[in-house]
This record gives sequence, C-alpha cells and structure tokens, in this order.
Amino acid sequence: MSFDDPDVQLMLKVKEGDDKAFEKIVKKYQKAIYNFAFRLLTNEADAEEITQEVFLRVFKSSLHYEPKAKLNTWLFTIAKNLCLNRIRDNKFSMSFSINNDKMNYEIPDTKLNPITSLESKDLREAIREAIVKLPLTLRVPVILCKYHGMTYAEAGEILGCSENAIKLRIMRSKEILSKFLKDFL
Amino acid sequence: MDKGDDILDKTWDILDQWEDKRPPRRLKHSIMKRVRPEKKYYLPFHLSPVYSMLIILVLVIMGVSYLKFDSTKEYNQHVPDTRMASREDSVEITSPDIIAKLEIIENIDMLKVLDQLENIDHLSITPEDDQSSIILVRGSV
Repeated sequence: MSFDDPDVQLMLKVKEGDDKAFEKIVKKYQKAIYNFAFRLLTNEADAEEITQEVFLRVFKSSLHYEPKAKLNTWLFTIAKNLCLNRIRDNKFSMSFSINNDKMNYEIPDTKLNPITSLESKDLREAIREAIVKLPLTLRVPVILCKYHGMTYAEAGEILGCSENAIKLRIMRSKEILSKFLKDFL
Repeated sequence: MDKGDDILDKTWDILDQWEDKRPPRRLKHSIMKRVRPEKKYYLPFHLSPVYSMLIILVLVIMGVSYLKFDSTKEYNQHVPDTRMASREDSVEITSPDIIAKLEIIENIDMLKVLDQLENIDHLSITPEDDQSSIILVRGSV
C-alpha cells in the first residue's frame, strides 16, 4: 500500500489520535458500509448497529494499523464478517425459539414460486427480494461488485477466494436473478 | 452476443434500480459517541519505546540514588566503630594479656598426635651439631 493514499494518510493520523481524521473516514464510508449491511441484512436497525460496530473496530485497531490493505477492502471485510455473524445468530435464535417455545413464527415459504409472488410488487421491491433469496455465497459478491463497484479481485480479497471464483459466482447469480426478475426484463 | 447473454446483462443492469439508502443522520454522531469512551484507553502506542526508555531512566536514577544513600548510611555506621578501635589500640597491652588472649588449640586428637610424634624412637634424628660440622668442613676445603 502506498503511503500517498489519502485513506492511508487518514488512518495514520487516526493512529496518532487525530479525531478529525477518524470523523473524515466515518463521513466518507458510513453510507457504503450502511448500505452494504442493509442489503445483506435487509433491516435498518441491524444495518445501523453493524455500521457502528465496524467503525468502532476500525478505531480500536487503528493503534496497530499498518498500511497493508486498502482501507476500503478492510472496512468491507469487517462489515461482511459482522453481517454473516448476525445472520447466523438470527437463524440460531429463531430456530432456538421455535424448538423451545413452540411458538409459531412466519417462516418464508420457499416452495412458493418467486416469479408469481413478485408480479404484484414494484421493481425495486422485486430486486430486493430476488437478491435476498440468493444464497449468501452469491449474495455477497453481487452486492460488492454491483453496488460498491468492486472488481472481482477486490471482492475475492474480501471473501477470501480467487478472482475466478467470484466471476463464476456472479455469472451464477445473474442466471438465478434473471429467472426471479423475468417479468421485469 | 446471444439472447441468453443479453438477458443476463439486462438483469445485471436492472439491479441498479435498488438505490442506495441514506443512512440515518444520527449515525455519525452515534459512532463518534461510541468511540469517545475508547479514547480513555487510547495511548499513542507508537511512542512506547520512548515510554519504556523514560521508565528505565527513572528506575536507573532511583537505583543509583538508593545505592548512594545506602553506602553513605553504611559509612556513617562504620565511622564510630573505627574510632573505638583506634582508642582500643592506644591502650597499653602487656605480654601476659597477649598470651592469655591467644587461641589455644584444644583439639584432643591433635595433642595425641603430637604425643605420638614425640615418642617415636626409631626415626634417626641427625643432631644439629653434626650438620654444622659438615658445613664447617666444606667451608674449610
């Protein structure tokens, strides 16, 4: 990583205890991280909480910051990990409640044809539902590459896989999404 | 480009319709608020070599000053003793006193051995006079 990179400069200032520099980082990336979390979790409160947690972790880690990776990549890696943990926790707590409390939760019907259920909804809602229906291994690369302008290599770095793996996942996602959104094409 | 690829590209493009959401206004404020308590424990750790050097320096100074104080204290304690000793030296001591103060070997085994040595009769003891006579003879030659 080049020391001339403005993000690196900001992080080095944060390391020295510069509050203003940290505020600049928050201002620059809060929208991206919030939207990434929101698209993954589809819950505003969770997205807000995750965004706060991401920046808190960045601040704590700034003491040992070394300009090895791009700040952008680092932020999204933390956000991705936190979101996946949240999804896992939510699934666990839901199944735990069902098993233990014998309560009736509204579980989405996977047998329902997605195309017919989307017909009456507007395009934005249809896209949201289609992306949410993607498995996580496909959903994250789509969000990173489509909505955050990441290259396959950058997305691969965040997800810990190769550029080619991301390329294939994007291709697969396109195929699935085209089926879900057939009525809008 | 075939029809299949065209559909996939259209699908990809249509995803843009899900626009970014504006984060709540309070988000930045909340983040800064959560970060503030962390600042209490925030020390510029990149200065840790400087801190450690300062600590070592302070410890060395403290150690040196303690040793100095200790040696001064020891010196002050020894001064009256030496004075007393010098006074004792100046007292006139007679030979019977010295003899009385001599350490006497009271080891019984030692005394027995000495007795045995005295009673040995088979050792040929050359008289001193003979030795001296030999020397004299040589000298005359």
